[in-house]
Amino acid sequence: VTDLYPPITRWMIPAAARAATLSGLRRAGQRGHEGGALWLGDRGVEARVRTVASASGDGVLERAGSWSLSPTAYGRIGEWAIERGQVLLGLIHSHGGSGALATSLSPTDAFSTVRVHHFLSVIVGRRGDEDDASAWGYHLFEQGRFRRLGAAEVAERIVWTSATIDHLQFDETTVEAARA
Amino acid sequence: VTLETEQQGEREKEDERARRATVEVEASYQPTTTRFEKRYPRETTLAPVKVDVMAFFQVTERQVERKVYTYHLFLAGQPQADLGKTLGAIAGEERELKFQLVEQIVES
Repeated sequence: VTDLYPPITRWMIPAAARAATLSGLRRAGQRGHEGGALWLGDRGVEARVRTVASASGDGVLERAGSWSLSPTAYGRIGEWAIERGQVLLGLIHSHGGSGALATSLSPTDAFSTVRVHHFLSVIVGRRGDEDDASAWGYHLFEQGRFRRLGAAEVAERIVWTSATIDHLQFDETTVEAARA
Repeated sequence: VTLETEQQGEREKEDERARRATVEVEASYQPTTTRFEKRYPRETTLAPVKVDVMAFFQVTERQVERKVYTYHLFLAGQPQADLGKTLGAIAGEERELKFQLVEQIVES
C-alpha cells in the first residue's frame, strides 16, 4: 500500500481552494442540488492541493439528494491530471443541512467512491453555502473504511496555506479554466 | 568475431519476433502516479488484463445488495466495454497500449 498510496500526515490546502470549491457547490446549491469538486495535487507525507476541478456539464449528475460523476468525466479530468503529474487527493461534495450528521458520509458516499489509503472525502453542509471550513466533514479512508476526523485532528492535519491554485471546470468532453 | 556477430543478429531477430507477438500494456489509475506495465501476447483478451490492472492498483469490484461498484478500462478517453476483444485487435499495428482505470463516483 505504501508504495502506491503513501501515507499522508497533513494536507496543505491553499485558502483559494476553499473559495474555488465553494463556487461550484453553490452553483448547484442554488438549484437545490448537491454539487462536487475534486482536489488534485502532489501526494506525499505532506500532500499539496494544486488544482480544484469543479464538475459541471455532460456526465455530471446533480440532484437534490445525490451527485455523481460518470466514468468518462472522471477519466477526462484524470487524464488531464496524469499528464501533469498530479493525483486525486480528495473529493468534496455538498449535502443539505448543517451539523455533524449532515456533514457525515452516507452509506452510498462510503461505497461508491474512491477507496484507497488516505483518500480524503469532504462534505460541505448547507448545499455548499458554508464558508467555515472547520464545519465541513473530513473523512479519511484507512484500514478498509472511511473514518471521520475529529476537530483536533482536522486542526492538526488540514492546513490552510497562502499558495495559489488552478481552478478548472470539467465534464465528459472538456477540461478548461473555470469561469468566474 | 563473425560468429559473435551472427549470434547477435539472431538474438536481435528473435527479440523482434517476440516484440511483434506481444503488446506492451501500460495502465494508470488516478490516485497514484505509479504505472502498471506488463507485456502480453497479442491474443490476450482485455478481461485478464483488467484483472491484473485492478490487482496491481489494489482495488476490487464490490457489491452490496443491488448496488454494484465496477471499474472500467479506458483507452484514449473511450471505455473498452468488450472485455473479450484481444489486445492485438485493439492495437492493430501499434506495439503498446496505454489504458486508464476509472470508476464511477456516486455520492448522495
